[in-house]
Amino acid sequence: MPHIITKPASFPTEEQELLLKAALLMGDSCKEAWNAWKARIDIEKLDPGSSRLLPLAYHNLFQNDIQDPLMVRLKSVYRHTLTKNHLMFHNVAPFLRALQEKGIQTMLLKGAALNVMNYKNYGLRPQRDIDVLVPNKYAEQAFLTLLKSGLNPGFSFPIEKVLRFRHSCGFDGGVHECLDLHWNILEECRSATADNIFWQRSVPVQLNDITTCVLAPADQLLHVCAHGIKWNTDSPIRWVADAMTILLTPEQPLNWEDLVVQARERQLTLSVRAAMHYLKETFDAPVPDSVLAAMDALPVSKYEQREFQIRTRKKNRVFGNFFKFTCGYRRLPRPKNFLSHLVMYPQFLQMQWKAENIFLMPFQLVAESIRSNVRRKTIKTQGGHS
Amino acid sequence: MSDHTYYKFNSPSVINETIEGESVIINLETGFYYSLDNIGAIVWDAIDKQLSAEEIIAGLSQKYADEKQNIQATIAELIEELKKENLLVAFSENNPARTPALYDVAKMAPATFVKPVLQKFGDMQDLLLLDPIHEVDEQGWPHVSPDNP
Repeated sequence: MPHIITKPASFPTEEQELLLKAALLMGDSCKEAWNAWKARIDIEKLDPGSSRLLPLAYHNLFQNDIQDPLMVRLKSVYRHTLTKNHLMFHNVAPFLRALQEKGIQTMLLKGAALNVMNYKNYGLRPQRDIDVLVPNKYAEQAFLTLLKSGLNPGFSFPIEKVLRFRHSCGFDGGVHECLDLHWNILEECRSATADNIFWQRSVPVQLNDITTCVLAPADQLLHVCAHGIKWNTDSPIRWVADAMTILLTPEQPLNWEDLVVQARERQLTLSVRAAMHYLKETFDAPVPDSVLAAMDALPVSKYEQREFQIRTRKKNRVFGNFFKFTCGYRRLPRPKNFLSHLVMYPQFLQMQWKAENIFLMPFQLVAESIRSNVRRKTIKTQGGHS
Repeated sequence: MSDHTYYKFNSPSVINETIEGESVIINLETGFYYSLDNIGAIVWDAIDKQLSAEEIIAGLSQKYADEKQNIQATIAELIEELKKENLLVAFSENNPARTPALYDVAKMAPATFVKPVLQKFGDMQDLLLLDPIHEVDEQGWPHVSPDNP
């Protein structure tokens, strides 16, 4: 029996589900979902998660010959996304080249990979930055190369601390030169060798003159599920669209066994299981029953159950992301003794909160709690997750 | 030797997409965004299908027989403008990349001839910061709302 039978709080709301159906389904199902969604929302007050789906919805509504006065506004978002994504890829290309000139292999992750490999149209999926993975052993060299190339990291901590306690670091070189450097794919799996299997079966892609790669389809789906279903104030429900797009990319058959094995080995069974059941039941995703049965049969530790609950539930009103970060700490390679924990844990939290001063963290926690509650209230009035 | 002039998009600097009859063109090197619709979008499409300037003019002249003189000048002017903006480059007819043209300009053109206009938008960094739902006019992004100067 599956351990999770209820929908996690991080999953789409009823309104968001309607928009997802309008963006993903065909024929009458698309039309009915669109009309039902329009009747329930005010586009002037849309939550961020839904806003990010508008370009995909526009494209699907157009494919389904749906005429609607709102199409002009959706087309506006589509044009904006198309232009922004093209410019972002163009502006980040020199930094990819700089890494490759140093002999550092790169892999596109998240939106960048999905846009190139699955959506195949830069107008459909907005992306805030270009996520680039480098092999763990080259992380420091890659970090220094980007610094030398003129990009600035989001904070000013010593590199060794950043590399030890984080799995990625955002770099910014201007309005549309945003690159998120990763040295591990999943924040849950942070050892130096954790990504070896992903690198081994990665798929090469070409970005004009740059040869890079993306995750194999099963690993891409694992990443989308593991990353996407965590609770977030911005309700990033696009993980549903991302997962469906991977499942519906016909030229890239998915090795289901790899997905099940990796979910189990990385203690992500509940995330992948919940996502697969949800996609199949709500969007009729082509997930074989045998895969669902295999996922349901996997043993799940008490720790994994607890971690899943923390990661998918709403942010704690008082402690903010404290519990989520503690889960992340629990996943780091173990320190030798208790004393090492006492030194490492505050440093780890400092990195997650990006707190300049370790002794100011309690105040930062209070400030974040207040900010988060104000934001939660705003988004609730816009129809997203509260 | 043929006296036809063929053009191609200045890729990879120039990318384009046709959305509901509107050609959206972005010059990634300069950061300028362009839009062509109606006859302009058909000319752009015909260039993409590797028709020569002369073939495009002949197709449109066939459709709008009364506008023949006007069409020749107008299309030549548009192509000149596209070249000036570095969106097009000329290439030889003998270029092996050229495939037989299958694009029927006369069939694609609308009932009435309207002079094509290349709309150009600069300051892309500022334009991309606009909210494409709330800070644009009724034509949508990148047309800035008059309430959002």
